[in-house]
Amino acid sequence: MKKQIVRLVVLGILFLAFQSFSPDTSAEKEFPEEISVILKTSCYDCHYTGAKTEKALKALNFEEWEGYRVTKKIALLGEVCKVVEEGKMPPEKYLEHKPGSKLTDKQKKLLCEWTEQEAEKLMQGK
Amino acid sequence: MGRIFKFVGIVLLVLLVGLQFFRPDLNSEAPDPELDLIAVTSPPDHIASMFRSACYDCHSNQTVYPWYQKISPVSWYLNNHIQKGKAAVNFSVFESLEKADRIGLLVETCEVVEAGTMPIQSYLLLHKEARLTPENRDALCQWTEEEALKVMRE
Repeated sequence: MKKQIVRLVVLGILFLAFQSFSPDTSAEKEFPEEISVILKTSCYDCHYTGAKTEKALKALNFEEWEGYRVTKKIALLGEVCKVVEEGKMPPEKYLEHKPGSKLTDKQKKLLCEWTEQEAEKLMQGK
Repeated sequence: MGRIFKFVGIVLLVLLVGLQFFRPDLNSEAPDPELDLIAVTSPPDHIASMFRSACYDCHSNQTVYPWYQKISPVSWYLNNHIQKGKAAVNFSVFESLEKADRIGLLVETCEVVEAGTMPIQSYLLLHKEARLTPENRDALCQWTEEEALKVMRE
């Protein structure tokens, strides 16, 4: 009887311990922390599930990132850097309401470096 | 009265002839076999002819001009379109783009065609051969995707 209890307790502990190794089930990509911050403050209001901006979501929805085919990902990465560098995104109108979402030159550079690295990785099949 | 008409007519005619001296340069360079999309990727004929008839007039260095488009002031209007089109996308220099940009361009080409954003309406009015059927679009998209994957594996 005592043995059985000990076994049960051990099994219970093991069961709980395994929970921390559960697979990540979300389709969402884990972006590096500093990139994630930029995306959240300057892009997600329109480009993330839940936004009311239908057109923007259709063009790019970061929550669906992993669902895009590889060539589309590469195209989007290039586009993200381009529109940000050209100052087209975030749009002026949006920034009027949320001046805090304006990207600094440093952030733009960071973002473009990341999009380029990421595209390079994808092209190498990683 | 008749005299005035005649006078105005002659003035207009002279003006029109004069305008011809202010014609923008024609957009017709010989294709560079090392940079041009069609030359470099050698797509099947039906794809190549789609590019030529629906894209190349504004997105390459080889516009095919109907006679009336060489006449000013029509030529000015047209030249403006061509310059803008080429600034955004120029298939004549496709191969000079970075690998990722070539993939991006191929993906985007399919998307704008599928969405019906390209070719633009005003162009389609005068170029019936540039109107793409849903089958044309599917074929084009299939090709651009295959090509994008090829570029990726280069």
